[in-house]
Amino acid sequence: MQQAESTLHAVASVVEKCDFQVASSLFANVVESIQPYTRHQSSIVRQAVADIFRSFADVDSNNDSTVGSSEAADGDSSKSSRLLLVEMVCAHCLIRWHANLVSMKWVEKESLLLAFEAVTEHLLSAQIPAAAIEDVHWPLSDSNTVDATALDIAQHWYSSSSISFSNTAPAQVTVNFPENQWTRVFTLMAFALHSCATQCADDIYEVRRIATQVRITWWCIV
Amino acid sequence: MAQQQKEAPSCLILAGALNIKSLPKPGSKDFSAAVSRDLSLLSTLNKEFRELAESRDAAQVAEQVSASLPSVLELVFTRRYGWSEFKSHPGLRDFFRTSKPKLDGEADALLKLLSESLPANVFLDLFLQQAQRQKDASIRRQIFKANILYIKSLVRSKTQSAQAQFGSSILNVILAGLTDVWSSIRKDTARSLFVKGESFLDPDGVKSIYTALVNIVSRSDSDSKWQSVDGALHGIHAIVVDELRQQADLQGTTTGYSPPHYLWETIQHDVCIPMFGHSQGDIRSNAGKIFLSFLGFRRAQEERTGILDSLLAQLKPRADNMLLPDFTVRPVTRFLAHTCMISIVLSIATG
Repeated sequence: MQQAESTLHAVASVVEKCDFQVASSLFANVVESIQPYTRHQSSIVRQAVADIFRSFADVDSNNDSTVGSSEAADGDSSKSSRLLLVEMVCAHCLIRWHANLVSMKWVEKESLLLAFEAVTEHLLSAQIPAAAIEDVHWPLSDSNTVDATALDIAQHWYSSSSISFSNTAPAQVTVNFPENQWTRVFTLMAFALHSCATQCADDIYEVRRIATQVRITWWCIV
Repeated sequence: MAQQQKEAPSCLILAGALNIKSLPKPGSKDFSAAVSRDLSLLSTLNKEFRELAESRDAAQVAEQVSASLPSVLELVFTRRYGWSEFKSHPGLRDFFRTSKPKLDGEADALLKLLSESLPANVFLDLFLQQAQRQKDASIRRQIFKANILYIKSLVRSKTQSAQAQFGSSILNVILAGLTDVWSSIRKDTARSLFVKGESFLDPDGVKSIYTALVNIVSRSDSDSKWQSVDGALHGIHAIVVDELRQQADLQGTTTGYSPPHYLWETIQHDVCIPMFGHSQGDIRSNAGKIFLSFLGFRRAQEERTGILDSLLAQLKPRADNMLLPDFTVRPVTRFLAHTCMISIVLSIATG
């Protein structure tokens, strides 16, 4: 157990020191390797897994030496690079959540909720455009959620990306891939928050606690 | 020569081991008398040793006083540092204002005289024995500190490499400090290796220490105490941090910087990764700190994909690493339950 805990911390350290491009290229490989540990019996190990997601979300793209000079000079481009990793974490965790919800043990729920917590905390410290916050609840409004589930949307959006998942083919999807990255992140997070709301009455105290915490942090953002 | 042949005076220091009384206890009836006796003894020893040192060379002095030296050093250190816990004692204000400075003065003078008159290797070995014999943690810590200070002064005073002459003695002192049972001594020793970017060790000395420390770490599951491993990791971390400083110093220069081969080849697979699984939390934490510092090397940044791959390989659940006990234990318990059931059935069947 100690070996797993320390090794996961070391992985988080390596990710933290990566620039955006390296981190995004490593994402699929890392999440595949740490996946079994989301079900680990030790809460410290599960927290270490969440810390890896936190490290991905926190990768500092401002130090990215590989970005072209014109892009590097552009502040928005740098911010969107950073947001892409947040989006990858969100999408991955949401897909895991919805693909396995029926058979998921509480420990795995807790792991994914911890990852959502890391993302909300990252967003809390990020400078979010006011327009993105105004649109935050649109995916869950009555007119938008009738034909698509979170899993459908995520699978449809990321079917050709490095975010891996395995499930049946997507159902009919009405929500098209938004060009605006903030909208994508907020759509994913809106679904994640919806999942958290359903977990606030879970039998397991830790699941209830983290789900509530994520919602509280989210309210602070919006 | 004539001076060397001059007869040594009949004195305490030549009479073999001294009968050193235990440290006088503050508040005891004869405390003042005992302190006066100690002061007088230190003063006499100072005088006698100075006369002896003037009439003999270092090797002869060492030979003649070898029997009494351990007790002399014990007297010096216990009287110099032994009352530190009573400093705020209201009944001892007079003692700390009047008698203690005199005792300190005599003890310091005697220690200086010994360090200047005895051969360095004799003094280093003696120091080390004294430190390891001392049971009181605070006195023991001060002896190690004095020992490191002596090594530093020795290195400064020599025109040729002190390590070439006293390498093994210096190495023994540092390793003893780093592997001591007291954590404060281990940390002090690690901190003393590099101070403000300067070290009393030359590059070969650093390499010897590093190699010895890696050996301690790699023996961690057999005969090394966890304290030794902890101290070894403190020492390794100090060396890695100093290498990072050198990297920063050489940034932008034409020579550039590359981590030493001996360090690069061992730090990840012989130090950090094996220690990530140690049962002691402090050791795992130290290994994590070393790993974090190691990632600061520019070469580590260039090779981070390879470093990450080797870490991820460690996470692959295998039969021997038990990283995922909830997956591996259950089949084993099932198997054991099954075997147990079979043996019960067999024992019933065979009567």
